[in-house]
Amino acid sequence: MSWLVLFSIAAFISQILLWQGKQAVAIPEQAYLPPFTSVEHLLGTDQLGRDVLYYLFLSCRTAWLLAVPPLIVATAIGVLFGSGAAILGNNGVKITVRKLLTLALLLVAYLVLHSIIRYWPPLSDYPFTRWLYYGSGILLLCYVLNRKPGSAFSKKRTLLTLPVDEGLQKIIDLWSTLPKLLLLLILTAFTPFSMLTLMGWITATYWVLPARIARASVLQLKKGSYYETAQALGIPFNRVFTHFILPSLKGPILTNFCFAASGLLGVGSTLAYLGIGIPADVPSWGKMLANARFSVEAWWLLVFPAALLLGSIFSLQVLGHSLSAQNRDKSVTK
Amino acid sequence: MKNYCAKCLSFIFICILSCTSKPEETGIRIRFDQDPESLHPLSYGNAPALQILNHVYQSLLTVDLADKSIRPLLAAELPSVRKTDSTSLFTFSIRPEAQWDNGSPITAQDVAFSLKLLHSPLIDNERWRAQYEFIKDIQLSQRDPRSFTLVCSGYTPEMRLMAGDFFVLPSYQFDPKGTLASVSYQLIRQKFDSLALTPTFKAFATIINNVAMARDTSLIKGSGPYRLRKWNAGQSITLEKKKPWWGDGVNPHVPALQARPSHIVFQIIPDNASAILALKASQLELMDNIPLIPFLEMQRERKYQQLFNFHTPTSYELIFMGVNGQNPILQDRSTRQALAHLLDIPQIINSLQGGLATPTVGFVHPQEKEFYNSDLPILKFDKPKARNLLLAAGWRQTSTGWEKKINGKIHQLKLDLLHKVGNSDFENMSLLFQQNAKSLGIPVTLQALESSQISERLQTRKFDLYFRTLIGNPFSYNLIPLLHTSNAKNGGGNVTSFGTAETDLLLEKIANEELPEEKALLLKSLQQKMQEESNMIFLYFSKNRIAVSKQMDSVIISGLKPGYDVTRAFLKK
Repeated sequence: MSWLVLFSIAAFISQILLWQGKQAVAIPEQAYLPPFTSVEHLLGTDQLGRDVLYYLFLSCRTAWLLAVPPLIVATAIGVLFGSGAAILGNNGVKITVRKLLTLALLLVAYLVLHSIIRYWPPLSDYPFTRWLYYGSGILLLCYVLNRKPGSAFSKKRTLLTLPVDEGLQKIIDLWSTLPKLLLLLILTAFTPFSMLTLMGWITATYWVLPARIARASVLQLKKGSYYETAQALGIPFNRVFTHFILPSLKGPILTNFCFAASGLLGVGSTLAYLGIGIPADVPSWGKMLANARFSVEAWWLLVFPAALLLGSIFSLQVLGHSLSAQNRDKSVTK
Repeated sequence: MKNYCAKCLSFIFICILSCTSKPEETGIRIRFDQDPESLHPLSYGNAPALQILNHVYQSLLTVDLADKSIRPLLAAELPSVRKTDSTSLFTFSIRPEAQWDNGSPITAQDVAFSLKLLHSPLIDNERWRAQYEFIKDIQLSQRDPRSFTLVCSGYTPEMRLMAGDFFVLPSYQFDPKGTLASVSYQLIRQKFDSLALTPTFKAFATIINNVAMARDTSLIKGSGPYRLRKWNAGQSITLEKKKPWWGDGVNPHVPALQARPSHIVFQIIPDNASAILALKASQLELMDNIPLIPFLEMQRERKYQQLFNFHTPTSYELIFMGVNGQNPILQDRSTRQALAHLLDIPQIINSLQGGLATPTVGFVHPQEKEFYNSDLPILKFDKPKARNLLLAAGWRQTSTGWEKKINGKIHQLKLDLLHKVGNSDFENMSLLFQQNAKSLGIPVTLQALESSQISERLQTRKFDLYFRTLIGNPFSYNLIPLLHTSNAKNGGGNVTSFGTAETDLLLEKIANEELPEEKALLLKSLQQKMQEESNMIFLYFSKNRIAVSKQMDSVIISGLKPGYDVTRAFLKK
């Protein structure tokens, strides 16, 4: 735990350093300085003469950014989707055919407009048009969804039931058949390398497991007598969610978060090692490990980042285990 | 039933066991970093493929890697050249001993067939059509079936090699029906479009374009000393010496026709680190382009000193930074010069290349002393000078960076630098450039892209800066495709939009000049102009790093591609 706090603090400080525009300075004349030989470079230097200690310190930020924020977003999305699907079930959402058609039409129209706005020169230069595009899109969407079901004149409407739960399960099945690393490798090929896009893709890859856990737990809770009582008493849904569902969800989701984060540290370093997704000027442990491949003599380029990486992964694993142990103790079923 | 299954399974298992790990071929094992993919003599796509094809097929002339001279290969001797006003005539005669695998002699008809194939419709031969545009006609001799004359338009010094630098292919094997024999060379060129519609040519093209032509070991056969024995895609390629081969009987002894090794095995190992492990374990006899650090470390260690000879021949691979002259913020040449002064060539060579590179001011190798302009300075990191140049170009330094009003719009000096993903040299050079630019307040974004993506960005001119390699040779300085303003349009070869009317004139003169003294003057002034314009900022010619097993004798190491020649080598026991 204390390791994790240190790690986060280091990440935060290096973010501040980065805002001040400080980077590991390359002095090629001092390349491959072994560690513990000079006071200035306590852990030695790499192939460009950058200080290893400082580089590793700055790399904490990269690792942290790639693990924590995308996972928080992914978990939020997963919980939303998972519990939503479990509560709505397969019969929860009904929609008229006309509404569905309108939505489809709207989608097609906006897809066509998108390419015009993006590539037609007089329009593409002004950000205003883009705002207009997205703003009007959202407004229209809200209008269509909230419109009261037609006037008295309309004949009987055919209602379509959207199988939300089944749909989500299908998506989850599809998503989880692909290994996460492979999926990330494929996805990163679509966009230019940058930290933001990589974070986005990680979010898109990692929402599946939280969604699954949330769905399973909520399905279990729905059968619980207190949930039915709450519904019978007419307690509003948001209160039911925050007071009854969320507390029971918290345990497994947090455990999953810890394990996923430790996995992500590995995945982030793997991607950097392969030279994919992370720009060349962003320091990363994986990149240093990749450079260590070229030189057998420069052991310090291998040992220090590997130790840091292993330490972080272990601390997260230990945390995850202790959390799940706590849950087991609390759980009635054991 | 259960018992039966178990027996079956164990039988299969034993079968598999006995099938695996066949004894390896003995022969020279060379590392390839990629699969040749296609061994079609017309539509092959990469350097390894050409290297193998050069062992299987032969051309009229060849370049001796040892002394970089042009030597006759299939031709009995260098062609005799006659020049008229608008044409030049190259008369060749083929070696009398030369014959195909089926024992029939190689004749002028085969050469005519090969030339026709380069210009035939419906076949993947665009690049050859453009390259051999200058060969207007082929005249076969009436007296001697082995001699013929190529009629070429004009004369340039490059033609001495180019006129005989295409594979001579066996017509009996490629065109058994004689489709091309009935049509003259000139007719094929003139009626290119209408011939494409005829059923005979359509049928012929399907035979030539057949995938088997690029892959099948029984169809990839030429007059060369080796036959393709085995091709495990992505793993290895085995070449086997033909016995008998016509070249062995040629007297007197011709170096170009020597082929000593009985087998050559090309091991395809894409990953550098694994290839080095294989080399260290003596599973390879030869490896080139070894990454710098392992190369230096191996050179230092006694163990490897006993096993290998290390060579660092200077190559014609030129590393440069391209600057987009079409981009409004880079249109002023002072801006481009300022960027050139942010590169520190001596530092890059000493630290990133371990001193194994030759700094240069232009596209001429410093080794070519008569053509190299040694009066020009090598670029060094010079911050004050770069700042002054930026100020001279009209840039103003503000708190957020450099600004300039161009065509009524305020532009910021912000640059994207493209480099190939996975190339650690380019990556490190980019990092150093970024650091130097940052110290002057110019933000540079690094973008690592796949090679094809970079090409696309260059073709559509959507880039600011890029690092790339240019592969040259000492035979030709025809730079019109790369530097002439007529090729600066989108899709043209002049991606950096280099050039003025003056440089265009220089380029045209260089392409046609024959006298070395005159040519030297022209080349020197072009190098000076290029440094002034700084559309292409030349850094260094790299040196190849080759390790050759001490078990091998007489391997020729050269600066020319592929950097080595093993045909004259033999393995010591």
